[in-house]
Amino acid sequence: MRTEERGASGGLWPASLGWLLVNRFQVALYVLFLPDVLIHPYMIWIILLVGVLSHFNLRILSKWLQTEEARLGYEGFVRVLGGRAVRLLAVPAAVVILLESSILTLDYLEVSHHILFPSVSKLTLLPLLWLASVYLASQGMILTGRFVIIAFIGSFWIMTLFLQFFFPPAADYAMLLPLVPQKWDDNIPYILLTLWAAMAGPQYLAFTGSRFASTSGMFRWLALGNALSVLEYVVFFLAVTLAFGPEYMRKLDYPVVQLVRYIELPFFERLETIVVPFHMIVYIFLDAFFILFLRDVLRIAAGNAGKAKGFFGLAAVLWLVFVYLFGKYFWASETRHLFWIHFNSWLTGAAYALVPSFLALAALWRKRKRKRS
Amino acid sequence: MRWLMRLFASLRNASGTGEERGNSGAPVRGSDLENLKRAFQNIHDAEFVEIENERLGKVTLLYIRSLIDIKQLQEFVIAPLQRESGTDLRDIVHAAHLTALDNSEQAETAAFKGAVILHAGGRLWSVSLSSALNRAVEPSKQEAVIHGPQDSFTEQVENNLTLIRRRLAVSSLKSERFLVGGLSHTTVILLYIENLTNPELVRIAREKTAAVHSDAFFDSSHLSQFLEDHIHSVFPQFQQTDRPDAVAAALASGKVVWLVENTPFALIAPITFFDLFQSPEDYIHRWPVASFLRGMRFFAFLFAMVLTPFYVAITMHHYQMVPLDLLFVVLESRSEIPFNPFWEALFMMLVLEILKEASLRMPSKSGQTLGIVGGIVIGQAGVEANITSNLLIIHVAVTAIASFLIPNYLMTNSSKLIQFGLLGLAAWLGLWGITLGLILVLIHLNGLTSLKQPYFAPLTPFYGMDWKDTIVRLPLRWMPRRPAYLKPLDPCRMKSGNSRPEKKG
Amino acid sequence: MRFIIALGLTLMLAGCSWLDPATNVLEEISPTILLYLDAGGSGEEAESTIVLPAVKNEKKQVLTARGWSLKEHRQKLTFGHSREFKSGQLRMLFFSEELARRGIIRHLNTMLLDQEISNRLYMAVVRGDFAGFLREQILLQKNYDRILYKMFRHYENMMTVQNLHMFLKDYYSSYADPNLPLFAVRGDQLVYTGTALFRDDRMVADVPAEMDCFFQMVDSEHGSFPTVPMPGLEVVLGKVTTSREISYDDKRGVVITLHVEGQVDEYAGDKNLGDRREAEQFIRDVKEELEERVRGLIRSWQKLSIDPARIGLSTLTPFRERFPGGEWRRRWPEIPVTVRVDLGLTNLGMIKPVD
Repeated sequence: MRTEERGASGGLWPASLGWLLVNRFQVALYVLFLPDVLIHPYMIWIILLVGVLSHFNLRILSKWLQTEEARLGYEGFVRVLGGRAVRLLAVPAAVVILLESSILTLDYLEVSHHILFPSVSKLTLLPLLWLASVYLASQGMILTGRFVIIAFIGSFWIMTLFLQFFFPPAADYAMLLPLVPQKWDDNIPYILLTLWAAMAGPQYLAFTGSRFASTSGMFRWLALGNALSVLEYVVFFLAVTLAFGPEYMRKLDYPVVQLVRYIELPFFERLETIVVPFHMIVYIFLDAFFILFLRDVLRIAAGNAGKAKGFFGLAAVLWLVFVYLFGKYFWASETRHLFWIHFNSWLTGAAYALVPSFLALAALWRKRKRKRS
Repeated sequence: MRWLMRLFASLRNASGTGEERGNSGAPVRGSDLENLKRAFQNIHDAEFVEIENERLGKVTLLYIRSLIDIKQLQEFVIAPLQRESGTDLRDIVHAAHLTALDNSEQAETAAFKGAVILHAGGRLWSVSLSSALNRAVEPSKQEAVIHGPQDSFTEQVENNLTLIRRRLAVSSLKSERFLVGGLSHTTVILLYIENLTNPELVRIAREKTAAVHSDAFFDSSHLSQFLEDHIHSVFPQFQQTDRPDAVAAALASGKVVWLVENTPFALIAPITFFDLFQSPEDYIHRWPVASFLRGMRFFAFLFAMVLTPFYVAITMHHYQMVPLDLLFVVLESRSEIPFNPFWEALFMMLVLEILKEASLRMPSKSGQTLGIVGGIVIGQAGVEANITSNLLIIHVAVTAIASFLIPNYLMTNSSKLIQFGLLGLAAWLGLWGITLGLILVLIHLNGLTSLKQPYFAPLTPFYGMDWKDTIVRLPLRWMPRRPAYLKPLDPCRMKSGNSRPEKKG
Repeated sequence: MRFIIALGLTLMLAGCSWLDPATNVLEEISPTILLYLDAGGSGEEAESTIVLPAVKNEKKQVLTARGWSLKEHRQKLTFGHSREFKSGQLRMLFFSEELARRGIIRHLNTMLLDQEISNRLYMAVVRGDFAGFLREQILLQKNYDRILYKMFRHYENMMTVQNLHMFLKDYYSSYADPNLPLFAVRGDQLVYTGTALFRDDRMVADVPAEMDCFFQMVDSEHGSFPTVPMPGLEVVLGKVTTSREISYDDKRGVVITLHVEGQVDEYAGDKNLGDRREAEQFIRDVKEELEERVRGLIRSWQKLSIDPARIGLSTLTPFRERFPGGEWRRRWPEIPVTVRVDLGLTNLGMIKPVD
């Protein structure tokens, strides 16, 4: 065990942790945003279709994770790609990590600012979120990864609140008809892209091979996480469609959040004041992960990867400054948000499509070459 | 890990514990008695008695009068020395604890542990004859149970060991003795079951105990502060208990136990967050009842932390959350209060803490006055004078009662401190702040360890099998395995079902 | 140490922009629960009336402001009052009939955009001088606004009760038109007088009080009505439970089947219900009367080209949308409608006519 993982007792990640990691990586941003894009009830089938595609992509990912190189961590990447290539790739990787985490975090902060604290700038909440993330990240990758269990429990219950919308008289199932489209929406490529991006996230696991105690039988867990994400998307989408109807839904920003506002319990009303803060736990978890990845990437870029020490403070501060400035100068109006979310869909979608297969192919190629020589 | 080894090594070289002293340097035999006499100068109850024995010659007895049993001394040492004769001291003094000593330092420590030092034929001997200054075994006051075993530990470490050995009558229950404290020379006994407890745990425990260096230890909690991994955490990383059954159960599940001299509280480690919510009574109730009660305790813990901050968050930020009828109740009760909810709550919570502390320190007879002052004067008059709202009084009172549901006293106070933190966050950022605070606590718990084992197990890391005895308590028959997070060498609890009826003849 | 630096940085960044958010400390704000909107004097103007919440010995007041937007009203009201008005607890929104006939979507949009306001906002249309009525009532019953709110909560299943969410859902749906409960001020009473029917956001018609239960029977999938008076037959049905089925096929058009079960509570007619043949005739009469009334209602809706009971939804099948893109709205007036009532009456012989 490396020195940085102080207190990381209880061993490495079991393969079963991949289940939750995949699930929480996938659902964070798009669970709020997705129903904005999906409009017609028949798009459930598209969710399922993309879910199946993602399933096959995870198969490739698990192939890569089972290679010897993936299990070696940095050394393995050097073996597959060569030291210089890894160092060169680290720079764009840092940019991707920063951009994705900025968009993700700012989107959440936007929601909490809009719903909870209209009088407070979202950039005020950012340092607080960052503080929690840095605290988590400072425990090291192993413990951060393990925190996904708490993040899952802390956020998964939100889904149960939506179950009430599935029962009559609130639900009129005729709203879901027709289930087979007569005419496809013109926006289909965009919808497919967004859905694919909604399934993205597990590509980050490709870089954590050394943190798993064993990666055999990994695919089962990854696929399970993927299936759970699909289920969550379907539940949220159906609940929103049943409650609002397709036409009304199109008029709302974040219909999922709007629907939470409609839920009422005997002792509290307006559950968004509880649900929106609790959803934060996922973002804190993801941002901690991003900070750790950023640290690793910075180490590699600086040619310091072998030492496995340092750069944490730099990564943390860089992250905060980047997100802060990004939020200040590039996240002002609503049209900008949509642009950035669209941009994020391209970014993460592409990453999810390319990273696992690229790595798996590179590993395969190296194996062949070695066999021949 | 390596730094610990180095520390250990350096401590071994320095004059650390009493045990190690014997190894350093060869003793100067001839001056042993002189050394002792010098050391015992100005101690008014140190006594030197010289007895002439026929064969042995002059035997010098040295003891601290207040520490030993004079009757026994007379009976087992002085009388035989005067009457009988033999070539060796062992032929004359037939006491069980007669041991030869290497040097005067050992003799000094032994004398202060209640032994009589005999100097005969140029050698030093000790006979342990400590006076029985002993409290009877009484029911536990801290963890009282209605049903179940009523005995509890006392200050005598040997008696405590007896209580445990009676419960675990096996040779694999090992006990290792340490002397810690440069001044107190406190006996610390490390207990574990060989071939069951993970040796890694025993190794860490041994190293940590040996590395303790300070002058005096009067309670096991002092010791625990030197053993724990995270000194700044508000959560206790050792379980302290004075119940022998709890200790025996911990040992049997693969944990390590420290018994400390002069305190009835044993230390148990490694523990988890969830262990602190367990009470011995859980295993006496029917399992559905026990599960319900355990669930209530977790709920009460959360309640005690969150309730008052929640009130502050709602009255300061989220008035829209309250159902309409309740809103007007709150509004009515708050309408003439001069302070804003944060200061009001802070004030009341501080008053409650003061009352609680006072009731702990006060002699029990004046406790009733406190109840009256607290209940009537502060509660009733506060509301009537419009200093606090009666709703807040209810909140604070419920919080106080809820916090007593947690069996572990240290945990009760941890929740108190967290509550104050959450109160500030609630006043600042409402429920968002409370949630942030709770998440920070969860992150903290995620990183915490007890004896280098994860504190938040079986949640992170997840051990599915351990959940049978965590928030719920399922039937004991369904728990054939010991807790997995302890990684016991022998994970199976029910292997040997060797209870047969006893046959006579 | 690292933690302390992080904390310092956090506080610095957070503190620079803001340290004390605008709080909603409860005793410093005035949460209003009732808002009445009336058409203003001319053009786009409107008039808001609110009931001022009061605690302990404060006097309850009714305040009115005039202007072209709701937010302007609120600002004006706040300027004239010691505590800031907050609409986070707004529970009831009343429209005057005049305003409702002019169109209300602009105001609803304001309500929807305001994140403070709950979507569970009860809405109703009032006929008559509601503002004046409130002024009088507040003097008589201090908590009249809360009493009204409790009434809405209680009757959620018996009379038309609509909130913002349901109204907008119907408004945006291409297979439904919204409706709201209609009240009238009569002297010192607020009387439930049926349901106001909307086309888009304008009120176009109403269902009178005596017909309201028939509207409910068609509107809700399962209904229960303590009393259904039918003056034409001199009978009052009691403990009526109904369930509704609507089906559509291309040949027969819409078929509405109502399963009605109930008992005879009062009968003033001259049939001997103890006699089997007469009782059967009686049941047939009641059935026909019910069918006729429902048919009449639907015919009137078709005339106005409105579909307040979401009948259009039944034309959808899993594989086909027969009237896509607002086609339903155009075709609905010409579609043949069959109404069938499936009646089960008990308790016929309890009250026998005395001869």
